[in-house]
Amino acid sequence: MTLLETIEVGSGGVAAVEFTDIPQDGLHLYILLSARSGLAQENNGMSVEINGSSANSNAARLLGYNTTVTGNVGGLGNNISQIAANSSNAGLFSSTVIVFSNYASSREKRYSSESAIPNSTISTYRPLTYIYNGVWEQTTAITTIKFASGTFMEHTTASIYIIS
Amino acid sequence: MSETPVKIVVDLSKPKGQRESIIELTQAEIEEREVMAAKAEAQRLFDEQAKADADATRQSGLDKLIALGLTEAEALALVGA
Repeated sequence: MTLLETIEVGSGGVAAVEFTDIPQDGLHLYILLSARSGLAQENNGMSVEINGSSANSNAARLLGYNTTVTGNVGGLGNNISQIAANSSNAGLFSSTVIVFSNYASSREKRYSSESAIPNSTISTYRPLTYIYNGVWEQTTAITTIKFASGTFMEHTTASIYIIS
Repeated sequence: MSETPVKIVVDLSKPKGQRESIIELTQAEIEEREVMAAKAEAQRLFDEQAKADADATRQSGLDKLIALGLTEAEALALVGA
């Protein structure tokens, strides 16, 4: 596994984080996010755009909290995960792992994500975990990935690796 | 954040130290952002309803077990605390 880059969001936050010209010599893409959205909620959806498009993505999702597991299939569009947001306790960030399998292949691309929302004392849903498994229904290689979630707050970090 | 939202773009074809730039969103990206915000809000409402439904179902099950004669501790042991 090779680290390509790590970025940290600076003062004021940003609307999106975009990796472009992704090298095509890997098998899978592995992305780690430590993130917090500026939205005044406990958590917020995070979207993905692949090769500049928000289309052709869909997923199934499990949501676990307290002693309950629920979920939904389809209708998620390019929603790829949930991250901590700004009604959570100050300084808490969610941890999210995203994998795009066979990203440079000529087949449709599968992806998965797992996100642990921090154990905010404000929330009645603790612990809160989201697991997604989706597909990008295109056969072109993935060269650009953009994540957005309202505003990524300062100190959000994103690391991108390739697995060979 | 400045008046026009910005994004971090990391060009992985460039040498380390020269890859990162801060770029203002295009109008199309701003519009897409608004669409995504609406979808995220719809998803949040869906999640809240799903949580409420699941909690209500769990409580209903607990109540029925207790009505059958189980103690609350016994019922919780069956469905999870």
